[in-house]
Amino acid sequence: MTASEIVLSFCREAIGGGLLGALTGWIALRVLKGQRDPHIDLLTSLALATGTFSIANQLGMSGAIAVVVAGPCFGTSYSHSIFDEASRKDLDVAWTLIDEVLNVLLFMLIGFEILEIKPHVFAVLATLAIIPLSIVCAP
Amino acid sequence: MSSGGDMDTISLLALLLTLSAGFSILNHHTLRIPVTISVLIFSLLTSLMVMILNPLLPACNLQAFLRSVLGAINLPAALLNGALSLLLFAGAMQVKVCSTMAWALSFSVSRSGCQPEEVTK
Repeated sequence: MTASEIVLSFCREAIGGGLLGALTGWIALRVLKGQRDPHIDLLTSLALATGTFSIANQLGMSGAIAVVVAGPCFGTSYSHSIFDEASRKDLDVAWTLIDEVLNVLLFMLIGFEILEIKPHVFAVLATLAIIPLSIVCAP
Repeated sequence: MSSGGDMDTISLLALLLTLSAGFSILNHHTLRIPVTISVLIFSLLTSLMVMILNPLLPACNLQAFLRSVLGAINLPAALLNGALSLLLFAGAMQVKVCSTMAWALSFSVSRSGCQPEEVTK
């Protein structure tokens, strides 16, 4: 693998993902223009999050970067002219709930993953080393 | 006891949601710490208990059941391909672009297009 291939791959992953996210975010805002139904807003934002991620993965781009660029499109000053206060509040409440529920599920799965780990000296030592490292690295 | 491999999606989801709801209620009545941390602690304790109880109760083989459930969920794939998109979007949607731009510009430019009360939010 040459240096130019690495640069090209990086550009495709990062810049391509960012452009794709901005494009899908802009399309979502254009679609939402001219209606005041909070349910349609929520459905469109769900479609935007999952759709952007899978399109970016299909095209070999970074889905994470695309979603992170598409998300703030809903926080721009342009979007304030599209959502009124009530639907903005509904949207925030719904996404806070999704965030919270997924976090709880993921942390519970992490707790159960310990059943899958084979006890091994190196794994135990690495786990013990994490604790002082995370204390040192914390701001 | 049926193995987790042939459970359908809704049963897996029901099992996970029931456990997490139970753990968070338990947290509310005992520890009262943030839900994510308490759920992690309770699930760690549950897995440790399963590991200890498993040799005592060889008939129902809880550990193999939980392992097949975990294999059916496949945490790395579920995390990286499913939940990550929603989690990142939820985090990114709370960002106020205007105030972030004002914060970034404040290092070079003294004035910006944002209102001051938006910056302080």
